[in-house]
Amino acid sequence: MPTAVVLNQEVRQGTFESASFVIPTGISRIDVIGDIHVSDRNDSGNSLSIRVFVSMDNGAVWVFIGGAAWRGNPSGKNPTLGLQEIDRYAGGLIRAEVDIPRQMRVGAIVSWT
Amino acid sequence: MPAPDASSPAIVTGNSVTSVTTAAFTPPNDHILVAESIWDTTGTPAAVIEITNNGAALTWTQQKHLDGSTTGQDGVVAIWTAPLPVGRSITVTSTPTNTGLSFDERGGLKVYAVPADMADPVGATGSGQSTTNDITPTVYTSTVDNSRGYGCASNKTDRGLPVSSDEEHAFTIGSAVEGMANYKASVTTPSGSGVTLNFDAFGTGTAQWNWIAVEILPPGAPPPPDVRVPNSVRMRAMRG
Repeated sequence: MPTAVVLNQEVRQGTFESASFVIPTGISRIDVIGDIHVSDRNDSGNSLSIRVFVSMDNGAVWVFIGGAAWRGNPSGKNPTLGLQEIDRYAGGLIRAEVDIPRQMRVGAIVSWT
Repeated sequence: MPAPDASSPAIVTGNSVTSVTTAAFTPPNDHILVAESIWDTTGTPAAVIEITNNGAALTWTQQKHLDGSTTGQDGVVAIWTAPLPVGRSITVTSTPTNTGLSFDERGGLKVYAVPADMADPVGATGSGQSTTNDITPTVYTSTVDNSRGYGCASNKTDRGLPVSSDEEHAFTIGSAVEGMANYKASVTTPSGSGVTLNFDAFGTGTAQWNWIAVEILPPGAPPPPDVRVPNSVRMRAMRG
């Protein structure tokens, strides 16, 4: 399963846009994984939301294609947002946006199949 | 009629999340949004799924719900509808809200925009459970001509992607949870017909299906026949 780091794991707070990349042809699903440092994952005061956008005109207009919310949990798990039927956007650009209300160490990884 | 409009967004899933939100989509005027949501549960708590939307809040009605507190099997499924008289760009969010769910919540949401009866979009409903891998239950008996069956199901197994002989949108998360939203490829007529939906888990092993279904009524559907009409009235009509 190919993966790409679109936002390096750093101490962050606020809203952050990831890098964008071209959606390959021949794939059906993209997963966006919040890459939260292990020491921050089980703090129930931590939270984030992920939003994913695509652009079919080389970045002029971005369209929202899915989102998810996460909070710190006893299981210490990272959030994964799964987007299906992604082939309808093949050839377009995709990027993620992450809202981080409280400071923690966060990045984002994308995988596709 | 009432088939999903092409504007209907793709299924969206989440693993270890507290909610998922669909892509922005713009249905035509006079459509019903049918939101089908499937979440994993750990154990068999009574579980609640809430459906909301961005912008001006639509009037969402839960049409059918099933969880482990009834079936004794993991998984919660719910179908909500909301009328959208004037089409606009919209996103829909599914949030499991009860504390009985674990924090590592896994689930999915599929929304269909359907040209349906705006005042009363749902006729018959049904629900059930099964441990059989490949099931085709009769989910309800139709109440009007030209209605269409919509359903969804959860399956808590260590497997893969489920399929259906009906039109399906399916997902699997972490090879631990399967979910499926599906609908009939054609309308059901006449009224009074038994409607089936197929839920076929990955492989051949034992499953844990919790399924629900609703009959979506076509626009302007007449109310179901009034079976309380006295015989004497019916006799006069027949003679006329």
